[in-house]
Amino acid sequence: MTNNESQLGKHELDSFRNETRAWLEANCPESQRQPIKTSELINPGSRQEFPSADAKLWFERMRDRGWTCADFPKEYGGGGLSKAEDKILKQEMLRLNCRSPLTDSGVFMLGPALLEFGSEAQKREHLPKICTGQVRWCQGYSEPGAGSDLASLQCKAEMQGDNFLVNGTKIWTSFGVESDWIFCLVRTSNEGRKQDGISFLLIDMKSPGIKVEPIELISGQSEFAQVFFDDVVVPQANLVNGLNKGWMVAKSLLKHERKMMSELGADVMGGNIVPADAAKEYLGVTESGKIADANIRYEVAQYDMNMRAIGLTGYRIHQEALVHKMDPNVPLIMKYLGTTELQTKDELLLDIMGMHGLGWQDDQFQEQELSAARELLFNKAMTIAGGTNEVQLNIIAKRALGLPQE
Amino acid sequence: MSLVLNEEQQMLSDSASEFFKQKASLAAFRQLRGTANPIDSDLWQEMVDFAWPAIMIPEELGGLGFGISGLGMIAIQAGRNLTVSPLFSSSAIGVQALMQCKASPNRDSLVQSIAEGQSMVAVALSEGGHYSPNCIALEAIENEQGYLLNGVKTFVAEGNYADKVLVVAKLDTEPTLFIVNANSEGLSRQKLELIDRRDCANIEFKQVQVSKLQKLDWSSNDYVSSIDTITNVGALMAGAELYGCSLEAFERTRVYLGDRVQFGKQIGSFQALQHRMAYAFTQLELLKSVLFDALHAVENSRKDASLAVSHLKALANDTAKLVTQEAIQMHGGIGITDELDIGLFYKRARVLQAQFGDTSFHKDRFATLSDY
Repeated sequence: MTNNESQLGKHELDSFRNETRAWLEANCPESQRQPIKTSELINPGSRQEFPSADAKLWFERMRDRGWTCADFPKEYGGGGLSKAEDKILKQEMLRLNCRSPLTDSGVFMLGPALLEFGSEAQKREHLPKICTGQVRWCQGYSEPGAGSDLASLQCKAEMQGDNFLVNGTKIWTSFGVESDWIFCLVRTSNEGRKQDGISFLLIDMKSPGIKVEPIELISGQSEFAQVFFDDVVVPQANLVNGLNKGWMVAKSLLKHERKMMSELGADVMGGNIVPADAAKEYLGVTESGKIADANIRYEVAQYDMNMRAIGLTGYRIHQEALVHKMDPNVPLIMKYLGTTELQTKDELLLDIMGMHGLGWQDDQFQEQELSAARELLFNKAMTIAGGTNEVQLNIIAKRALGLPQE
Repeated sequence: MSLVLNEEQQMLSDSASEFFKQKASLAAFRQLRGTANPIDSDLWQEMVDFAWPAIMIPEELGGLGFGISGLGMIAIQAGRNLTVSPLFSSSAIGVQALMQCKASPNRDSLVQSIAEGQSMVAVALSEGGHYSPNCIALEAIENEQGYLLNGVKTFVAEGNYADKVLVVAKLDTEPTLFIVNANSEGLSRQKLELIDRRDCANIEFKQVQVSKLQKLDWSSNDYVSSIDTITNVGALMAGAELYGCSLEAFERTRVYLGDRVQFGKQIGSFQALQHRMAYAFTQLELLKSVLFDALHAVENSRKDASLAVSHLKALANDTAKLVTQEAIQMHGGIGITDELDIGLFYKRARVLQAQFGDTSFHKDRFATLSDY
C-alpha cells in the first residue's frame, strides 16, 4: 500500500467512525447502554421474546442497518463492512457501552463457518435468517462418550437416496430447547483416522424423530440440553463442505467459540460486582481505609493484578498484530487464563460475602448476593466448555512449547 | 506503542544478548565466583565504551538522554546470562536517585563521572532484613563543618566496590540524600556472602563527617515521592532481570525435557510435566506484558507508575520463584548439582526477589495505591 492510499483509507475510516458514533448515539436507547445481565440478552428465533421494548427497538434498528452481522457480505443480509470498519463499529459500541443487538451461535459461530465452507445455496438459505434473527441455532458436538475427545463421536448419518438418516445423541447443547436448527458433527465413516470420518450437517429441529431434554445444572439453570435423534431424515443438501470433511469446519468453528467465550467472559458472565468494593462493603475498612480482613485484602490485590496482567496481555496481542509482529503462541493462553480468573473472582466474592453469598432463592438476600452464588455455580462450566483447561494446557504444551507428543 | 519494542529497544536488546553471550555468560560468572574481584573490569570497560552507563543520563550532563526502557532491555539479557555488572545499581538506580535531586556542582560532577564510567555508586537506603525504604534510623546531625552521619545500612548491592555511597539519612525528620566517599573516615563495609555470590555489603557509618555540599535537596518538596521513584527504578531493574532469569531457566528446561529419556520416552511427553510447563508459560507471557507496561509507565512518568511497578515486582517474584524451582525439579538429580547451571538461576532469582521489595511489600503497596 502506498502512503497516499493508506492516508486516503485513514481519512475514510475517520469519517466512518464519526458517522457510526453519531448514529449509535442517536439510535441506541439509554437502557441498552447499561451493563447487561444474562436474562437481558437479545436472542433470536421463532420463540423469540424480547426482554424489553427498548431491546426490541435496538435490535430492529441494528437489523435494518445490517449491523447484527456487520461484517457479513450484503448479499447475504449482512452489513458488508470491511474488517477495519467492523472493528471501528465494535470500538464505538464499546465506547458507548452498547449491548449486543443479537446474541446467537448463528451470528458468532455458524455464520462465519458457512461463509468459509458453505455452498452458495447454503449461504443464501441460512445467512439472511441469521442476520435478521429469524432462526436460532444450537450446536451438536459433544456426546455422552465424546467430550474432550470429540473426534471419537458416534452419532451416525447414513446415506439413503437423497437423504441422510441420523441416529444417536448430542449433549451439552446450549439452548437446545429454544433453538430452531442445530449444526451437528456426525459420523459418516469408520475408515481411517477418526477425524476423517466426520461430516458437518445442518438439521431442522422440527424434523420428526428429534427429542430434546433439558439438563438441570448445579446452578439451578438448564441452558444445556441433550438431543436425541431417532431415524431423523436430513436432505443431502444440508451437508457442509462435503462428505467426511466436517472436522475442518469444526476446528474453525471452535476458534470462534473460544473467542466468543473469552469475550463473553469479559462482559456478561462476570457480573458487575467489583471484589474490592464488595470487600469494603461486607468486611469494613480500617482507619487508614484498608480492607479490614488482611488476608482478603491480599487476595483482592492478587485478583486485580491477575486481571490487569490478562488485560495488558490482550492489549499486547493487539499492538503486536498492528505492527505484524504477533507471536502466534500468546493467544493460546487467553482462554485458560480468562476462565480461571473468572472462577477466582466468583470464589473470592463468596468468601467476601460469607453466609450472605450462599443464598439459593429468598427475599432475605440481596440481588447481588443471589447472583454471586448462581454465577459461581454456572461459571464452573467455563473451564470445561470450549475445550477444558486441561485441553488448553495440552495445546500450549504442543503448539507453543513443542514438547514431545506420545 | 507501549507493549511492543521499538527499533532502538530491539537493537539494544540484540546487542546486549550477543555481547553477554560471548563475554559475560555463565562461564564468566563461574570464573569470577569466589575470587577477590567483584566484577570483571575489562568487561565493565567495554560496557562503558558502549556508553551503557550513560543511557539514562541527560545529554547536558554527558549522557545519551534515553529512557529507562533501554536499560530494562539490557537487564533482561543480563538475567538470561547471569551477567555480573554494576550497571543497574549504579547507572540506573544511582542515577535515578541523583536525578531526583536539585542540580548542584557535586551532583552534576558525579553524574558526569558515572556517564564516563569513572565512578560507580551504590544506593544505601533500606536498613532491615526486608526492604523498608520508609523506616530510616540512620541519622544526620548538623554541625559546623556540615553533617555527622551515624547508623547502619544493610544488604547494599554492589556496596563493597562502589566508590561513592548515596546514603539516605534522617535529617530532623526528613529522609535526605548524601553523597559519601566510600573511603571516608568512620565508614566501614562488611562484605556479605549471599547465595547468588554477588557483591553485597552492610555499611556502617560511625561519626562520618560530610560537608554541606555533600547534602542534596530533593527536587520535589515531597520526599515520599522521591523515595518512591527510587523504589520504582530498583524494582523495575530487578523485575526485568528476574524475567530474564526465569525465561532462560524455562528455555533450558524445555530443551532438557526433549532430551532426557526415562521409561523409554522423552520425559517431555509426560502430561504431568507438560501441564506444569504450559502453566509456567502462561505466567511468563503475563510477566512480559506487565514488564513492558511498567517500563513504559516509569519512562513516561505515568501517574500509575508506582502501581505498575508494584504489579511487576510482585508478579516477577512469584513467577521466578515458580519457574526456577520447577526448572530444578524437572532436571531431577542433576538439577541440584553445582555442575549444572540451572541452580545458579534459582539462586540469583531468590536474591532478586528480596531486593527492592518482596511480594508482600508490593502487594500491600498495590492495594494501598488502589485505595483499599
